[in-house]
Amino acid sequence: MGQQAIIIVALASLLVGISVTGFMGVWDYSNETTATLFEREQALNVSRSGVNLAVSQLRQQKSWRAGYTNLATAGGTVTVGIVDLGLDTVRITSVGTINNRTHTTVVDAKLSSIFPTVESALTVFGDSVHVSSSGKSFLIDGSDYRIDGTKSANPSVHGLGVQSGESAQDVITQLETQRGGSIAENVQGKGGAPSVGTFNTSNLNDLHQFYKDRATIILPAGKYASNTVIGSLERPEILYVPGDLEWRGTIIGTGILVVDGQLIMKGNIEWRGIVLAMSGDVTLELGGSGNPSILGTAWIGNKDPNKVTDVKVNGNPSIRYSYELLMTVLGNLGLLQVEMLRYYE
Amino acid sequence: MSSHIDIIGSVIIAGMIILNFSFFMGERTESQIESTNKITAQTEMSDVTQTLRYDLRKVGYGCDSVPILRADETSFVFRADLENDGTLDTIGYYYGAGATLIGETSAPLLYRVVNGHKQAGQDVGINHFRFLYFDVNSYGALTATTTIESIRAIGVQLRLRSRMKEEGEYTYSNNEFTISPKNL
Repeated sequence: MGQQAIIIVALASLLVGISVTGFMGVWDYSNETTATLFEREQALNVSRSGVNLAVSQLRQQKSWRAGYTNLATAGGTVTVGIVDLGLDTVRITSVGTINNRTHTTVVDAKLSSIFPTVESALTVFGDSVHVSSSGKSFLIDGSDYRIDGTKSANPSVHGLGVQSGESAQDVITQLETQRGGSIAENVQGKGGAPSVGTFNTSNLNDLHQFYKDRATIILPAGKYASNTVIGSLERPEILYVPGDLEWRGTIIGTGILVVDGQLIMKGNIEWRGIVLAMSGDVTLELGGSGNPSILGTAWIGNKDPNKVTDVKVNGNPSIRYSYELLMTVLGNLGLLQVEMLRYYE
Repeated sequence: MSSHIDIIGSVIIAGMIILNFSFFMGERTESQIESTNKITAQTEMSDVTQTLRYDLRKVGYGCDSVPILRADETSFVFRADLENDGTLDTIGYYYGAGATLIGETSAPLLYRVVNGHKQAGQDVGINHFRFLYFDVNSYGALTATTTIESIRAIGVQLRLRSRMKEEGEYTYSNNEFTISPKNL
């Protein structure tokens, strides 16, 4: 009887074993099918995360090319490579991995800024441009300067840009006939002194409005004489002045200065970034006392053909072009754009 | 006498075990057919979905002209560099009776045609298939569109029927998804 019982138990165990094994096999296969689909989608999402991270970084820093290696993200890891395809065009390759499944996303992107292409250190809008100087030591330089003030090897832009060839010739004549022609040498940059060229038409009104709407500081129009620091490279400001602005004292500012009127800078004023001054008869007056300087670019003028844009440079002021500074300021203001040209995933 | 009782008892118990085993095997077979049916539908749904998603994500990639050539409920033809090899491909999905495409009448099939070549495949039992098209409004929300130029997302509804009947009825697997190709 004991042997029979063993046989019964063995057969019963076999029966249960076969059934459980069969069911578990089916169950595993079912799970595997679902998991495979899910993991593929997850790998895609991980690789997309890599692209998004790279785009965020490029919006802050246009020159960033370091990429990521096995960066933990979205439950997996991602490796991102960035290579230049051409001027301001890059290819982002993101390989996302999760549970040994990988997905590769390749994106071609154009890096641009919410600012027109800068073609001169000082861009002057308006049909009538009048440039005058009471000194000989000013500098309007379209050479590309680094943030630290040294010159880079990048191509220069014009020192001074105007809307038409006729205006350009007129400005050159003004420079060559004032103070015995000596100040013509102070406008440097692309093409040699006097570096005066034209620029492609941009809508200054729209640009002015765009930045005005995003002002981080609004300063009432008026005359100010103080020692002030406005913004920094890491946290630049958009300073809007709804009227004329006259600055004296020692002021260091970083960001975008938007002025609805005359802009007069005297004393030790240093503005790093972009200056936009616009009104009817606009006057940009630099210097007279101290050494005001603009590193980046300045756009001034009006769209009314009956008005005059006056540029007065007195003493030792300077306006120098800096691509690096412009990109840093625009990047840290979140105004760099990454446009997806092609997206393969 | 006791050995006779043992033998009779053993035969009865063995008979019960065999009956029980037969019953279990029958149940198990039925259950396995049901599971296989579901898994087959699930796997085929997964395969079809994967292929559709893979292709639809690439609509317009590498195409500098018109990316979508035809878009209606049962067919969608678009251009894309499918393999990222610098060659622009034309990909078409058609759902309909075989007669219109291969000269014979059959149950509706889903065809994938790449550069004019119909892919060899099999009837996986798709008994409902529909493309939906969407534009994106200024808030980023999808809105249905009937204009090819404004298509920014493609929706797919599909239903697969099981290969075999189960208790006299087919079982179905439904899937619906929307792809927003980044090159549109």
